[in-house]
Amino acid sequence: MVSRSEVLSLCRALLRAGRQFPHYNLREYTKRRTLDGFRMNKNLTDQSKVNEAYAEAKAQLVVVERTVKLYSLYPPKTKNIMEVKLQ
Amino acid sequence: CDLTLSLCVHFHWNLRKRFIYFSKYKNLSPTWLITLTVPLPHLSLRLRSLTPISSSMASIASSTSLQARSRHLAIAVNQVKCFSYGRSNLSFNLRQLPTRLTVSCAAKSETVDKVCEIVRKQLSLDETKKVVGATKFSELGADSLDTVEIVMGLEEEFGIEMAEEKAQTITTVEKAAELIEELLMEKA
Repeated sequence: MVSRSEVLSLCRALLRAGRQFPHYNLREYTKRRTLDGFRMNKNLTDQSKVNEAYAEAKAQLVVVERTVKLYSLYPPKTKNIMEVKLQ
Repeated sequence: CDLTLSLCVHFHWNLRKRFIYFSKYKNLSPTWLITLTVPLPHLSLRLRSLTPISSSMASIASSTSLQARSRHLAIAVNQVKCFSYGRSNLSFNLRQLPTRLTVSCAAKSETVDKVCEIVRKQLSLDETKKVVGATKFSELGADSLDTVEIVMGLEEEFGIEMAEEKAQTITTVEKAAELIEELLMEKA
């Protein structure tokens, strides 16, 4: 039985984990994908489906954390053009 | 926050000058001394007049403001001589009167403005919708996921980390701004 607050905490955890990437594209992708994923399953009513989705998201959280560690070993050498402020 | 006390004050050796109002109460001697150990480095006491209770003769404090540089402020408090007519007990309540020194723990307006700006961008609100301190996120058509997103955006903007439980309590713009200020102060 997954409660509403647990789901929100998981969303927050995923967003927080995604922030740690040194790469702009990975950061943006994780943010976009988590929000899209949670929004897609927003209106699920069947409790078993909710639990399934929750378990999936938890697995993805593990993946993100692992990937963050990997990609931090190879940070980008130049700044991404999207991160440069418009002058 | 500043502490406001309404006290009956008789006299103190450092403060003798201020108590000119007490010339008529010179006969009353201090019966007990209150030492206030205050953790704040600057304590500003504003003593306001208490309205006398009609059925008794009470000593009235003058309205003065004292700047206490030291951490300890000793105030001699006069035992109130209450002549109660027909009443055996008379209680004096120390009520906190409103002062001009604002004790507001509300957020600064710049923070609120910044928060409003971010909220507007996140929810793509048009200019007609008013976003004030008191607007709830639900009023603006944001559900809990949108709130999470907004809070994340705020964290990024201000460079702070909000705790899980605290972040879940955010319902209005004002609350968000307050929490942000708290965290910014802790960081500084």
